[in-house]
Amino acid sequence: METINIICVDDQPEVLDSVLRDLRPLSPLIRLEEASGTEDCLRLLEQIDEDGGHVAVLITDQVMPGNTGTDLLAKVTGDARFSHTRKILLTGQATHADTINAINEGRLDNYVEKPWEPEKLLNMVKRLLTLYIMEAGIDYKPYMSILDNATLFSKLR
Amino acid sequence: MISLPDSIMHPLKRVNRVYFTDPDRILAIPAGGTLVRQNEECHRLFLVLRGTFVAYRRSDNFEGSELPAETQVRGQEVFRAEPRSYVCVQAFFSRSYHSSYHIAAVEDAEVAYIDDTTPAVDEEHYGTLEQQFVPVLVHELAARNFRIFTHVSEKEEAVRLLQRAEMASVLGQLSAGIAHELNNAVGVISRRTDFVAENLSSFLGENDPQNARLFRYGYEDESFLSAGEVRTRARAYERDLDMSQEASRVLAHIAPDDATLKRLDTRFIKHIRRHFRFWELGHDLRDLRMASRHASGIVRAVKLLGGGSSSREAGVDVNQSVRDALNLLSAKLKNITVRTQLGELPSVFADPTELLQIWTNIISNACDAMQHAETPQPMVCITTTTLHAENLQLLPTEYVAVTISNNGPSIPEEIRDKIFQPSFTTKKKGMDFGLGLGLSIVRRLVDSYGATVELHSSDIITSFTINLPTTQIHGND
Repeated sequence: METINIICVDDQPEVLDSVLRDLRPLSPLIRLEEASGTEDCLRLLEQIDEDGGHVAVLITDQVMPGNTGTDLLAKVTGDARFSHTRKILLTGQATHADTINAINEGRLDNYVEKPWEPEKLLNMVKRLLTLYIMEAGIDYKPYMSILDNATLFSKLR
Repeated sequence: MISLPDSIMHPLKRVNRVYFTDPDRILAIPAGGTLVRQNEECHRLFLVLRGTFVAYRRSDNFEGSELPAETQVRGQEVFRAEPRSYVCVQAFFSRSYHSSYHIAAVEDAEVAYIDDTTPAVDEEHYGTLEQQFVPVLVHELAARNFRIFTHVSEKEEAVRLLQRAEMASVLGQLSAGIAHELNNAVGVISRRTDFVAENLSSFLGENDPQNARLFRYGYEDESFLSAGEVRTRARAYERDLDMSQEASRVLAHIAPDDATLKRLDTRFIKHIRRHFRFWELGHDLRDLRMASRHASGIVRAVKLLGGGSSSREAGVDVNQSVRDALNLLSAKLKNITVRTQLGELPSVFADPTELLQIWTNIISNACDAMQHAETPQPMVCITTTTLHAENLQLLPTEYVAVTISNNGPSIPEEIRDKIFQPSFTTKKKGMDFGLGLGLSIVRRLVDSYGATVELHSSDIITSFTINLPTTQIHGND
């Protein structure tokens, strides 16, 4: 079975904690990883790649010390190894221009405003995870219990 | 004050010499004496030779015959005439001979004049009297332009101050309302979190000491590890100790290094494997506690920003309020050298609480900046002195200057304009985020006193100087 990761990036540990906990229903089929900023996330991506793992969904904050979430998304988008990775911007402070950049340069899939609704976030991640698994050509059967059925059926049809 | 080209100045000097030097047409006016009364007929054009006159305009007729000295004159000051200025130019040349102002001497003064019977001198060569007086008219135009320009900019400044005061007042009311609403809610969250944690801790202890231990580890966690550090540790534990990702993450918090891990008994580590959620429970309550403390801090600060009732009184000792601030912050200043140089000061008209707010916000900010930058041998210096400003119109002349300096990092040039704005903060690190209100409170208070803040910042020293007028002229809101 493949190792599939979901990464959450935020400079505030308590935000990371909350997101990881909201996504816990996906564990242990999916590995939930956290990074404290863009630099830390890039290191984590290298490590996952070395171990031969997948990054299905990347959830990032926008305003962090150093590079912004948009910068990170643009970098990941330009990296062929993560071409199927789905992206969410989870933020309370993105400006209009940030958001446009994230969509155009970072190929953003979804935008979530803080504070988020746990169930909505989980369902959104499930949909993106399903898309990733199907597009990356991973056998979806072991993950059936955590995938989004509607998305799965539309992809199978 | 009025600069004109030589082509005007030369003939102007001739006019002054030719028309305004006749001893028979020179008058001495004592201080407080009247040159011209408002609405009175006056056939003279004056040149001020010495002293200063002030022109007033009154809306109603003043009927007293003996006009009092300047200080007693009621009416709006329109302009001042100093040596080399002309007075009653319009009345004279319009032939209305009617003065719109009451003009009195501020100090012992002397004027020269011509009247409507004075003949033109050397008319063949220099033209009619009117032609000869063109430079005087140009001078008068320039003087009036200057006067209007000054008035307009003073008015604009006053409007700007008024708008800022109004904005501050609206912001204050709004924030006070919000703070009041939130205060009780935040209080409940804060207190109940403590109760829940206490009860849960003792309940767990009665049933399973290991769970209680895990809970306490989570509740009292002060490791403040970065996500990267936790991840690296957790990966190692996950691999070496055959733990789930969640459990290894908890163990990484409890034992961030090998030495700590060695001190833990294997039974407890095994316990973590299945019961890590008790740690998370404790950790959640810890986050709740910290978040509610933070929220109460914001509510308190917002209440201060809102101001509320200020009671300003005379006779306030600034040095005492500085000492109060240092006492209040003694815990924060524990590892910081504090030097004070408090000079002998006049008392001021102020609210001691507000002064306290100004000093504590600045000192507290300095402490945070030095702590954050890990400044070696951190130091805060406070000096107080008395300042006497030059005689600027409308401004008080006596100030108490309080300088609060520190040897922490310099404030970058590009943010110096922003640091006094609400919600601007450089503090954003885990739960230790700043309020971003501190210096905006300082700005609001300083403005309300008609005081000024000067900021100097270099790598060696950063200092804030508050110049506080000892008397109030703007009223106290």
